Amino acid sequence: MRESSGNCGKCGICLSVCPVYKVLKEEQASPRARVQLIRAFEDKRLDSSPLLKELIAKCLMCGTCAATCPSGVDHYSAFMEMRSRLIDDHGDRFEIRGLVYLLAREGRLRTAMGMARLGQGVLPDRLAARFKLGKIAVDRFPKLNSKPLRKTVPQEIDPAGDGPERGTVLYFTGCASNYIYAETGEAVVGLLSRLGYRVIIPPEQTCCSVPMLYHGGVEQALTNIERNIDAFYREDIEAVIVDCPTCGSALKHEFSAMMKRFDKGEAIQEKAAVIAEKTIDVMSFVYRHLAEMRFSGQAPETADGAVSYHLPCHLKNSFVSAERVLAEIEEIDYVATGDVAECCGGGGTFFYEYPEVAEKIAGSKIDNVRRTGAKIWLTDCPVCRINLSARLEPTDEITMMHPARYLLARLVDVVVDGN
Amino acid sequence: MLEHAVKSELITIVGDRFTDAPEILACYAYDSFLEESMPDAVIFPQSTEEVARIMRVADRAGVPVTARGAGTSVCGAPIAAEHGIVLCFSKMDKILEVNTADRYVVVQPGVINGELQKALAPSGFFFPPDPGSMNFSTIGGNVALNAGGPRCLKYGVTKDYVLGMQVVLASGKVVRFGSKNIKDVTGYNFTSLFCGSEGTLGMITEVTLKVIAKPETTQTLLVTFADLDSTAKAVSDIIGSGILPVSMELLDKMTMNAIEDAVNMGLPREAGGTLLIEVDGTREACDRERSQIVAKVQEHNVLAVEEAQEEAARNRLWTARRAAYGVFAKIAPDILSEDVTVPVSKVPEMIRRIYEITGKYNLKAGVLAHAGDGNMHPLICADRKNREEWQLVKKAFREIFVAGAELDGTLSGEHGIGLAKAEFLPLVMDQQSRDFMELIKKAVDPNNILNPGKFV
Repeated sequence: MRESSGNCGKCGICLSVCPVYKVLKEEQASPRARVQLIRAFEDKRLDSSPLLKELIAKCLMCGTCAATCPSGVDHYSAFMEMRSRLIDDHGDRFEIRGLVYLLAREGRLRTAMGMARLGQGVLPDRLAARFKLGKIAVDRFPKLNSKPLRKTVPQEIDPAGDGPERGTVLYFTGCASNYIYAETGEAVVGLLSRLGYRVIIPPEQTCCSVPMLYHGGVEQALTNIERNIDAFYREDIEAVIVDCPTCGSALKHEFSAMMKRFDKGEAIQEKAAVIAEKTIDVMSFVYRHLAEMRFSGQAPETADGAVSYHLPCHLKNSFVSAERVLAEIEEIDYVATGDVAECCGGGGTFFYEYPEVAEKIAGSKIDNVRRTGAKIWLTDCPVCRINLSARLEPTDEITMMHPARYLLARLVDVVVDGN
Repeated sequence: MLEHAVKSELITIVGDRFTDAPEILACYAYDSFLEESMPDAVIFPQSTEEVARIMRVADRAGVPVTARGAGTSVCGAPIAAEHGIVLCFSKMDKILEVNTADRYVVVQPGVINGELQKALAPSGFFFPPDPGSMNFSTIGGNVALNAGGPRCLKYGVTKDYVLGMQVVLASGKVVRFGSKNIKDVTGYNFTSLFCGSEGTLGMITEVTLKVIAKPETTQTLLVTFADLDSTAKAVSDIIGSGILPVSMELLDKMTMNAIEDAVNMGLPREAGGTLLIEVDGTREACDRERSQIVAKVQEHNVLAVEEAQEEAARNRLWTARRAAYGVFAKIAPDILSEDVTVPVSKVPEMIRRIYEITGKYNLKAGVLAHAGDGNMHPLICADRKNREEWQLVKKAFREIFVAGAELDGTLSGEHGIGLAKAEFLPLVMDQQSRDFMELIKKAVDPNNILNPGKFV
């Protein structure tokens, strides 16, 4: 922890990028304050307390402070460890503990999602509209997949089209595509196979562990990470593809950091490093092949062809914005909002725990996308999508989807060199 | 600790915008300077009326009140040295009026400088003062510290843009100074008195600022020199010959390398000194000034001149410059940065002396400077826990201030005095001048509740 919070010079640059500080305008809501509070706690100037826990946890874990810090303070890791410590002391909300419990075992999650789907079916619409989670009416949340994606898509998908086979990629579906947005997963598989890749979806994969790491489930996280490392370590593959940027940041950073922090031995650390090296978000992978792809001028599912985009924080901080893909395809009428890279206030479970703050952060994003006139709003992250789409009015007639799905719908042909 | 009766009176005024939980107070014990002091309470006022009522309570009870914006002062100005109340203005953040036809804006003190710039941009105007913290520091703080910044070389500092203000005095009385007029000689020029007063004279609750039209074009040059002395001489030569760039930033070798280590953007590592120069105005004027500068630097051991005209290229160079303060924090646990300022012709001599002093004590030091107006930023990296080293750092800074005074310089060009430099005031202000300052302070704040424990 020393190295991660040690050299904060208190300059305040993080205040200008922190989505929570920008809305609350209180020092205690800033990354700088959290670093100072951790210091005070470590120097025994402050005791562990429920208020301290709240101050540390009232954070989206977007990681933008760490990405911006000129002194190289690793806020992200420091906050994660501190959250875990304080949850040990003071517990967590019942429903958040429940979430950690579910995500820790694939079987539990599958059963719970099955029951929830049943619940969505029997809950009267009127009741669902009135019952709110994090200031969002329940009926504005997405419907769950009728079957998990990994049950409907084969474990190995052959390359499509007439071109030669280019190689093999592994696909980490994440819980969101598996249980909520099957269309995203289907589009990822579709794009990859159209590009000539053999796609393997390792069946042993499980939750990436980020929700547990944020909420003190370190033991459960370690189990999941080790299981995922086993499932995704393969020397002969070209890439590990993610569609969720947060899962991606776990594969890229946390797997290896956790194996190191908990001294899990060199062999598994090396495997984690190989996975980190090969992990790439699907849109960056598509970008590599953009020159080969031909798109239709006709926009799907809407008369108005304009499309806008929201850049998820974890994509911005761990990968590269998918905006470059949209901007470079001539056939796409891409309209950027001025705040494309601003956080949406979703932040894992943040929008549920701090609904007033999340509502303020999301509000201006919604206003701005309305102004563009675009009827299709793309974003990679499932939490951003849940948080933002739930706040749109039905009269907006704006559809949100993963950019992979949109691209697949517009894709006409793939022309490989010499073909 | 506040007395119970005082606390409940304050809560009656502001409700839950009063807090005295130690976890939250700890977040208001610091700014961007080194020293810390815990307040007894933090209050977020929302209106002038609330501030007036708070001041009446505090004055009667003799409780110190220290104003704070975003807490990014680098001299400890918003640190509650004698505890009491921190009055945090960050939530009074409304831009009340933008009137570019009459060239002014009216803002609450918590408006962030960068937000004001954004609000002005569509009408083609801007507010020139640009402290390094402009994207997160507040106008209230900028005014209270009379903030400067790189482009103040050409445009002047905050006090040159304050037309009027509303102030709550220690007694709770509300007064107005100045007006919305560019020209105004009605009565004493109190707005200037309050610029740089660091919260010791009153609480600024509203400010009227002059804004100006954006120049047609801006061009940026990155000039590298073989050695630092040539760099400094080029500065005084350019300014002395009548060329007035928008800004002229000097970075020494250590600073450039520290930045390059952090941002890795291909900055020149070998140069003994670097100047980041910006000119603005009409295209013709820019072209002329730029070629004059390029000609001038040739006489001073120049290594290379890189020109950036595109916005992206210019931003790249400025991002590097803005990162300077932070990257030093990577080198050692603590950094001490001061802003001794000398007449521009003395810049080469001042830089030589800074190097002599820090070299003598074997300190890890760098120099960057808004060199065109003689505003030096010697930075020393050290570890406060290493007492021996820390003593040397303090010794070195004293000697740097003495050297500055000897060269007709001053203690601070833009950071302010705060906790950092109060002890050095006698170097540049004699007894009678300091007495006069005290006289004014006593007249407006007889109970000494406004930011006590500072320079007056």
